[in-house]
Amino acid sequence: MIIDKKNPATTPAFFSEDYFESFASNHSWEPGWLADLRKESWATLQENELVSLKDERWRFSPKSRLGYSHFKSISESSNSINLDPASGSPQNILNTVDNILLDNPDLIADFAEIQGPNLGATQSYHLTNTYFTNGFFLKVSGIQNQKLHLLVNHTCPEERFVTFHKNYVILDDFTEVTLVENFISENVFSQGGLSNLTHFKIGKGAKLNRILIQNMAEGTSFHNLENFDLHADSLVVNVQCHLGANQSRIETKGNLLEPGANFENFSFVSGRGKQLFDQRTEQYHFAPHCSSNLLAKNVLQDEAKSIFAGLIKVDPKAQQTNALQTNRNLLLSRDAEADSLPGLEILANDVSCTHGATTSRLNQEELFYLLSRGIEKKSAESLISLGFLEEIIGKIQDEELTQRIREMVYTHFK
Amino acid sequence: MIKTNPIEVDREKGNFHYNTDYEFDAGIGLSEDVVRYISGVKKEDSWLQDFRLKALQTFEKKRLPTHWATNDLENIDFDVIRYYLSKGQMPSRTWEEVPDDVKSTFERLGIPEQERKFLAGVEAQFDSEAAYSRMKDDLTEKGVIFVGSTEGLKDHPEIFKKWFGKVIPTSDNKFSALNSAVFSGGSFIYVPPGVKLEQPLQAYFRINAENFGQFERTLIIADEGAEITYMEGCTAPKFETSTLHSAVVELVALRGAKIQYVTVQNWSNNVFNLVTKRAMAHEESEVRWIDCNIGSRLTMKYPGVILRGRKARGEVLSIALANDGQHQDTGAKMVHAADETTSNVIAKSVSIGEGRSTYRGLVQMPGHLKHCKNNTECDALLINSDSQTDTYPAITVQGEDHSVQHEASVSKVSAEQIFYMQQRGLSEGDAMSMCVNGFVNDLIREFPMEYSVELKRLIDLEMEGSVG
Amino acid sequence: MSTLKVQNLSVYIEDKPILNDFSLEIPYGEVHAIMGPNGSGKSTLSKALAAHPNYDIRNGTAELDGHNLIDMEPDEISRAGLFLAFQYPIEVPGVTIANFIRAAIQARMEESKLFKAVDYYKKLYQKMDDLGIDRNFTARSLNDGFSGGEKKRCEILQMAMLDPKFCILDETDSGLDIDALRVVSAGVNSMRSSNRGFLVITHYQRLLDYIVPDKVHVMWEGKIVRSGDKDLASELESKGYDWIKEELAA
Repeated sequence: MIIDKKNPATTPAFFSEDYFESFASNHSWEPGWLADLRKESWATLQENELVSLKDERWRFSPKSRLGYSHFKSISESSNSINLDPASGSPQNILNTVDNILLDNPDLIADFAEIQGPNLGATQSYHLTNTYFTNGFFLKVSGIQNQKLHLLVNHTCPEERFVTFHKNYVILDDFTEVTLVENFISENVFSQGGLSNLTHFKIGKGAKLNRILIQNMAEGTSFHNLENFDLHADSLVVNVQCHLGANQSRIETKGNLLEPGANFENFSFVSGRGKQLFDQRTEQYHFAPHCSSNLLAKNVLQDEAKSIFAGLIKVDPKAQQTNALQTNRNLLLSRDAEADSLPGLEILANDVSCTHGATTSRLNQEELFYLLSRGIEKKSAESLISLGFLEEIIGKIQDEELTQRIREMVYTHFK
Repeated sequence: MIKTNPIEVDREKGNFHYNTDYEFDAGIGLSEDVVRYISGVKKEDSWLQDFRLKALQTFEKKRLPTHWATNDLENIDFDVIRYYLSKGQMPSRTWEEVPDDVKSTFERLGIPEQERKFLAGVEAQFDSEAAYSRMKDDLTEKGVIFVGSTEGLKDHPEIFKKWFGKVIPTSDNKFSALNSAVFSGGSFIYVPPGVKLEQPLQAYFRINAENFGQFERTLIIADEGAEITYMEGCTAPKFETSTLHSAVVELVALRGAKIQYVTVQNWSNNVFNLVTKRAMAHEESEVRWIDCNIGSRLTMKYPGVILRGRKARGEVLSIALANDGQHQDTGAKMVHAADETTSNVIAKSVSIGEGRSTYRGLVQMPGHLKHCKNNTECDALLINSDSQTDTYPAITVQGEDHSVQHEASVSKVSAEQIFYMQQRGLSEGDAMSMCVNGFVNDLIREFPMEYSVELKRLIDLEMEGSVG
Repeated sequence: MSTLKVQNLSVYIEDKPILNDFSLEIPYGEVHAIMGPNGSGKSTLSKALAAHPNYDIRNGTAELDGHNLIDMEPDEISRAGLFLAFQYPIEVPGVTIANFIRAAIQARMEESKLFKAVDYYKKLYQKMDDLGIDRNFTARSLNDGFSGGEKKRCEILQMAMLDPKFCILDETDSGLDIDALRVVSAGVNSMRSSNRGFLVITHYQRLLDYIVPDKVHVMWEGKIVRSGDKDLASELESKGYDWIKEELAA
């Protein structure tokens, strides 16, 4: 929903002790480790209520828009996750978290300890750990004969409701998978919120090709927190396409834990209206001989606002690191705003690290050229913007999917 | 070039201390009485004393900025610092009149010699007050004013009061508030319309006493079409206890004026150097900060330009060298507040041994403005495996009509480069010095000649013994 | 008599033996060429003699004009008179050619002696003209953004300016077109004299048409396996290195 300043919302019920107690008793069938996790997260949430206003991790962010006060309650619908369990093979498991919890909870127990990304959205993080009722679990084992291509859809609930998803993606050593995740609304009325937390554990030599497409309805809120743990010689290519939702907080962290790991994170935002995209990223190099690359491109129309805060962190022992970070913003209107916080913290000396950030308007020569061919201004802008985003879209190796994403961007210019 | 002849004396150039008797001493620690004492010995008007007392309250209210800055700030003990020490409030106009103990300090630092060679005027501050201040006679005839802060506010209120504390409000940060409460010394300069100074004016800041805090206040106003270069240098003896230097520097460039402000900061490693520097640039004016930080324990300094007139131009050129036990936390602020304003920031840092250098940048461009441009480049060089560098720029751009570009890189001197240079007969240390000088070379070229030579020498000294 | 004398040299890189019981002697006044296929250890020899830190000398001796090169620092070796023209000259951003060569010359001067800038530039420009290097190059950063040919000319320029006793040219011909090769060779030939020795390392005979060697050695798996006069180079060119391989196997 669009936040109404004249009508400030009250604290939603799920912040009360009573609500949590009754939630816990409704979930008493769950394994003990999960009950403990929920209880701990709830306790931490209470402690963190008084977070200081001047948190650098929220710099430039209108934090009130990214809170939970405009929700009434939690939607626990099991239909919010949609996937094809048949796409798993005997070696692979792909199922919803609630099914796994019923059938084989020990599977998840092994990964209960994983934390992160921890880039500032502590409230979302602990709320999700407290109240998640759905999500998906993917575990890929053994080498496939053919390429594994999986699809998961997350659906946003209706107005004034929020859903919490917690997901696990586990790639065993030397496995390979392409995972496409869609974040959608069922219809224009489903203007609720979706908070999504995913732990990726990428084994030695494994390869993950991940594509996220967020095109939820106008008025929705989106919190997406994801943490990638990369082991030796693994590769993650993560492509994020953000088009929908009224306000988003997106946290992406890649931990390069062992030598030879390679983390590639590409994302674009196409913003219009009063959309807010608050993106925080971290490339954390723990081990030597790793590389990471990040490219974030934002196109903003109307009064849309984007924040890009990225950090490359290099530990003293992570020599021979190669890390890149680039943020490019294209502003199409007077009231659009792009904030950029590209950071470096380097504690090793034998490294090659660069970052760059640019913000500019449309190339007026290009625009004029298109206009002189009789193309309307709005349409010319969309063509040039699409060209600007093509660098990201082109990372997706799927013709059908890239065409669909291009269509989505086009409709943003109508 | 890098023949680093027996330079032991020079390397410790500022590290000496003559015993000095002070006529005026505000005692130890900070209180309203201390502020009143300072205001009293300066025979200030009541508005100024009120200004100081209000600033003291602001200082006490404000927290240390440790939520984003280093915790090392917590090691400053404001209760053991001496806030005012002087022999008197009026500087001498000839070196002969300067008391011997103070004069020999400045002679040893080579200040009178520099004055003869290439300066249009010199102010030499010893602890809280200037001991010597003089400008060439022809500049006085042209209406240039070059005095200390006390004198400026007392004798030329019609010029200085208007801008005093306007570019940097007292409450800007904890240390600008502290300075506003206890400031003493510094330069107040006015250059009348159209007057272009061909030689620089220089201020030299000397801390002599232990546990002392130096809080000079500088305000430079270049009237329409005027041009001025101002340079400052500094040293202090190396004491076991920490010393605080916290200046406030405000520049005002009126229409078409040009101000170039050059700093070579070479404080000893026990000095906390926490300085607020900002300029207001009016229509078609140019302000350029050339900021070089080699010394101190912790420096926090982000020279800024508020570009409030059409086509104003702001520039920061910054060089930082952080050696063992040093943290150079420097950067630049560019606030665009008028159409067609441009800004340029080039920052280079070298971290040696366990040194740490940090760049913080701020660029702001609101949506109602047209055609603003910023270019920022910051490059870091890491010498040893314990060296550290951080970069934290913050860029806010609104609107479809601006262009902002920020690039940063981190690199090191490679073993292959050193080997190649050694194969031509250079020692490892000389090869390293040459690489570091090469890294900062294009920036040093922007410095006035006399300073670039000095700077190169200082860099060579810092690099000595850094290899291995 | 002055010589470069290498005896029973064994050199390792990361515990892998590259040079194995290698011996060679070159008297001043002579030009020797070492030829051999890729990976035979030619470049290892040059780097090891110049004391590159990655090359681990485990056995043997190397003497230059009475100086024991083993255990000397790279810059001491350079000042003792050994010049290495690199196969891949290193780029050093920000350090101009003029300042660099000047620093190298000063490093060879006694402390008390005064450096005469006028004489220096006169000599520098003369050598640059000889080598067909534009005078504007003096202000450019050392090898930074240079083409392959420009880098090699710059190496020979440094050699001419530093006046070494013994020169090693490591694959100086690689990446040079025929005109550049002529100019570089002429530069080297003009420095040939009775009190200077040369070791020319090359993969191809082409260079040796211009810099005619007194002796040619063939290197194979870290050792010299054949020595002869310049005709050996022609033979290698026509028959290829396989011929050596077959003979050794026989």
